[in-house]
Amino acid sequence: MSSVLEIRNYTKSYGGHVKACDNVNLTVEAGDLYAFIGHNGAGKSTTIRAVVGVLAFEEGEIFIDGHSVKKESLECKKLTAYIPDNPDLYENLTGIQYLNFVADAFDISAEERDSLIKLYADKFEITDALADLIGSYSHGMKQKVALIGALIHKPKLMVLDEPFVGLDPKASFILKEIMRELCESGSAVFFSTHVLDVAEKLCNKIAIIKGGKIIAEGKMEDLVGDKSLEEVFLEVTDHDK
Amino acid sequence: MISKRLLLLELLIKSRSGLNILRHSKDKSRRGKVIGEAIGFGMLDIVLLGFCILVSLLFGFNGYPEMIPMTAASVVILLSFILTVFRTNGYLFNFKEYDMLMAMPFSVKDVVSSKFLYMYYRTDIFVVFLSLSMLAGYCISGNGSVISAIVWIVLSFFLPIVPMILASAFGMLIAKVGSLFKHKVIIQTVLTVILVMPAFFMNYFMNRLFANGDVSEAAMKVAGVSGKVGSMLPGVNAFTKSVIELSILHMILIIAVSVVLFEVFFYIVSKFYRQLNSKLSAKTKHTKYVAKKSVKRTVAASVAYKEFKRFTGSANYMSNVVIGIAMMFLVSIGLIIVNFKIPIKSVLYDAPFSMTMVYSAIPLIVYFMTGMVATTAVTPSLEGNNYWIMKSLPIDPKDDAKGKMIFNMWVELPVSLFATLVITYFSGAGFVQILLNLVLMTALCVFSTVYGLVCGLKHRKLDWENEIEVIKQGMAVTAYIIPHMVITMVVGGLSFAVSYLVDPRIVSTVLILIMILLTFLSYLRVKSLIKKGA
Repeated sequence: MSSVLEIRNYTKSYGGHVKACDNVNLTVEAGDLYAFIGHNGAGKSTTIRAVVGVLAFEEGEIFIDGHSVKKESLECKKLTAYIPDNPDLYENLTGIQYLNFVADAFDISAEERDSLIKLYADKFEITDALADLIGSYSHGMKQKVALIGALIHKPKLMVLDEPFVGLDPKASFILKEIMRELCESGSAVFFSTHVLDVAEKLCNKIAIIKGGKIIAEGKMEDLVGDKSLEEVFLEVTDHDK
Repeated sequence: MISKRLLLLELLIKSRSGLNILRHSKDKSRRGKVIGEAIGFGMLDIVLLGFCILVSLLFGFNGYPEMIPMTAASVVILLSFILTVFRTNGYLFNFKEYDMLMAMPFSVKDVVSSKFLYMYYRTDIFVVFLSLSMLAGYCISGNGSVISAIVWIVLSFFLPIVPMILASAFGMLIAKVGSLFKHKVIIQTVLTVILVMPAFFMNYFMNRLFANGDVSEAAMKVAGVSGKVGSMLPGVNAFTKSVIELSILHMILIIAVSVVLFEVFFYIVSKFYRQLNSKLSAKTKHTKYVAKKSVKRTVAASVAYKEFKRFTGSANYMSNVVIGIAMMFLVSIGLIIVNFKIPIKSVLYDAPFSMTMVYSAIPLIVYFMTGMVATTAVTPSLEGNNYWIMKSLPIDPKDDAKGKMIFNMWVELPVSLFATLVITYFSGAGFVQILLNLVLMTALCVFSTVYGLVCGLKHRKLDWENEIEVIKQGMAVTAYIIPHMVITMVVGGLSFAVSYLVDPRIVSTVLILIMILLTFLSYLRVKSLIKKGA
């Protein structure tokens, strides 16, 4: 299988001495639904922000579908969709204006964007609200618009930071379905979460990060065995104290 | 790619456009606010239009028509520079949607240059308006032709680019230097204030030229200063020659330098833009918290402390607010150090009258500089998305208001009193006059605090993308500035005029009573606004 995301020896330090991430290595292959878990401040978002080209880093390399995030940033971004934990959308744009902007940014034809926006907006039951200003949306609705924006360009790699926060149960269910479909179509999903049950049921691979270092990584079945992910997580994070 | 850059620019403009809110918002009060803001700014524009035309006519009818394009160019260049210095941090860096834009398929150059172009758009609306107002005065006073007017209009759009790029470069340098320090906000604030302070002193110097009321002499003096300022500012002579002599070489020079510098600058900036933003947004803990005995404060004191931390946590906020305070402090220290007769005489515009006549106006002069703090420090708008915190906590809105007022007084009062004391003492006033001036200064600070809160509550704006939108901008600031100017200029002038007939101590006492009355009325308004849930 070809690797969609490859992180090699990624290290991010602040002020030269505080290491937020230390020699992180992991590989996400096509079709992988990959969960990235860890305590608050463990280095999940610092890794994710570097993957999507937002955070500059000096040590290590990150490749998306073979393209270097450092050297071919634009190529990488064309292949990636990113949803931060708290998406800051433009409050004074309507939902449809924002989605059209994203579609323009990814050069999606008018016909294709119309059908995809309709498809996902209907799925998330937000079609009627697309003409309203984003400022009037609830957190969950903003999250849904951000998700549609991420999906309409059929990304090769979807990166999500805490995607289930703020979503209603139905939207969470739909998102999980979409993530699965995306992986079945040959893309990959890499996301951070604190909801271990979801990660366990949904993902085929997992990495646990603590203090900026990957302390466990691999296939879900190999890592968890006959225990629950919660037990394994507490075991490895406590053991590493 | 230009198309991507324009796409981003269009998004940025649309996302902050009142027109978009009017078209799509179902919230009537929000739509009303947009209309109210448009009317407020329209009125301000009319005042500025009138002022610019008057200045142009002053030159035009006193034999200095060439000074009109020169002054227009100087104003455009200086204002573009100052506004950009204040906006760079917040528009080019540390903006809210940074993660979203940087993760999209835009090149770094497209992101940063479109943010710059958006800043240019915001600045341009204002400075080009001033430039075109002066063009109107130029034409009314019988100068120029259709071609020179077209050249003026076209070049007005290019003229702000170079000073804005220079200001952005300084802003980036300040950000870069600041990022090397632990207390980066303090360092950035100090550097920003040092950078823009000469421009503010230049404004004071220009004001002095109109001191004696002789219009033609003032025109001559201003023409002289404008000429000197113009010769110092690159681009002014080129603009003047383009308009007056229709010099194609100078027109091409302005356009070519602007375009080439723009492309080169953003090519270079894009190389280290991410690194710089990463450093600026780094929030690492260098110290481990050690539990100490907590201190219990009153709610109002706690709110005031929170406001203080907000203040010291933002270079934009601090540099915008402290500039007047810092200038007044420096002037006061200067008075103590140097021979006080010279600067006092200078402050009083070399007036051919007795010093006693200006005693009562001294607090108003100080207030002109320090009273601007209340445009920002008391406004609830700064809460932005955090407003829910104040709303959900069991805090009486009166305590919230008290806390903000305490903080405002804390910033404004000490330097105001110090400056009043120094200036009044060195102007030779007696003990009673010094005491009265200190009381008047206190009354002015209290008034500005309460009135600032009225404006802040009445024109609260929480849905800002960038805090700079509520710091020194917006409807609340406009609503504050107009009475602020009236009080300082009209009341100051009146107190001076009356002091010719009446003992200045009586004038000061009357002014104190007026300020108490105005404060009381503002206080009633605050109470009513709080009651209404504003």
